[in-house]
Amino acid sequence: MACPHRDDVGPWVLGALGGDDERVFAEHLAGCAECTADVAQLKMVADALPMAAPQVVPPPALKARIMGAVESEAALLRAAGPEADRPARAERGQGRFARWLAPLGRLRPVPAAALATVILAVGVLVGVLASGGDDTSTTRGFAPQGAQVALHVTGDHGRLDFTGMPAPPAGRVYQVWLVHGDRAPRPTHTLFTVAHDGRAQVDILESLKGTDKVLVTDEPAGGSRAPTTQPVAGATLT
Amino acid sequence: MQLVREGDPRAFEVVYDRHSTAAFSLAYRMTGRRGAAEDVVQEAFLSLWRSGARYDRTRGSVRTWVLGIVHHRAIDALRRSMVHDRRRASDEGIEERFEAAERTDAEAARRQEAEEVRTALAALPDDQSRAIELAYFGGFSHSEIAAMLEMPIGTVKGRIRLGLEKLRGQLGELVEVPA
Repeated sequence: MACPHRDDVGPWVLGALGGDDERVFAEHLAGCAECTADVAQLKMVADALPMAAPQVVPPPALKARIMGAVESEAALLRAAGPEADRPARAERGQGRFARWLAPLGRLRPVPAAALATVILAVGVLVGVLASGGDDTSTTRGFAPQGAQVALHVTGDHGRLDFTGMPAPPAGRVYQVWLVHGDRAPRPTHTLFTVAHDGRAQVDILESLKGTDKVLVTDEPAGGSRAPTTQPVAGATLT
Repeated sequence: MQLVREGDPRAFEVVYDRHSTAAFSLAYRMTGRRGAAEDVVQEAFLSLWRSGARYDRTRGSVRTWVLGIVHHRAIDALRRSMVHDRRRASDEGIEERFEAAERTDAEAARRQEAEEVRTALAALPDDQSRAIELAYFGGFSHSEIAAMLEMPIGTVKGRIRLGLEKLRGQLGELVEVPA
């Protein structure tokens, strides 16, 4: 006879068995070989599901923010010395970052204050790096007849807002290009299509630093290294 | 991963470069908003950096470990900020964005695998794929899905299970076998 919890396995491996059901099943799992085997099998399928998501390249600025925090913490870790990363018995089970903060309590007042100041400074720096300015400028650009595009620029980050934009030809995507002066358009990883109603909000993945114009062409799926068609939309930075 | 455990930023950067696109794609698919996806990925990778010692290779690949953390963080974000409602309201307006052309064989292979998973998911009966997508990508609990689809909880559980079993059959060797 099948285990009465058999159908809990699916939601469990997807992280969808919420509330009391999750706790009850966790307790049941500890003593049920049948469900344990089922979980092992279906977990492999659940682990493959992220691949079904359309692959989107993260913006370079995200890496800069994360690596900024990592480099800062690594520098402080080095400055605090090897003792900072030594797990003490009482700290067993804590993460490295928590253990690293522990020396604060063991230092004499002046060094502790100095280290705390450094930590505060890094915290402020990370906070500044993680936050963005609120000054956004908006420029109307050109687009096919019946469509409109607005370029919103905040610092070095740009976003294109389309309305009434026709879909790219079958099998093709729109690609964003950045132009500086008379130089050839620089390709970006920003590829997109538009929704059925012609709307699209497209965050430009690359920095707009040094960019005079943003152009959009339709290209083969996967994008091109140089434009293969004339721009269908674009805007000039103010 | 040993170097990440020892606090080597360059080793961490390699992990980020290898897995950030998959992580961002999952977070973006789940939250439906660029800003929220960035927050989730940032939280997840900094969590990895600060607790790298918790990776256990016997329980799967680094990618599975990374994406598991992203998935949990995205669910937390969805429940914390009620992104659910905004995302449901704007589902029709989300345009697709695609990864640029592959530059390495590994990327080409990943793209092929991704296509196989998408095809297998699309081949499921609608009621099963809908339940799985709402649960995994939507971050909804089985009881929330039952309420949304107006069906008994037991039916939702059964559809999820049946769908996952069919996927397992279709994906065959693609699904990862733990070491």
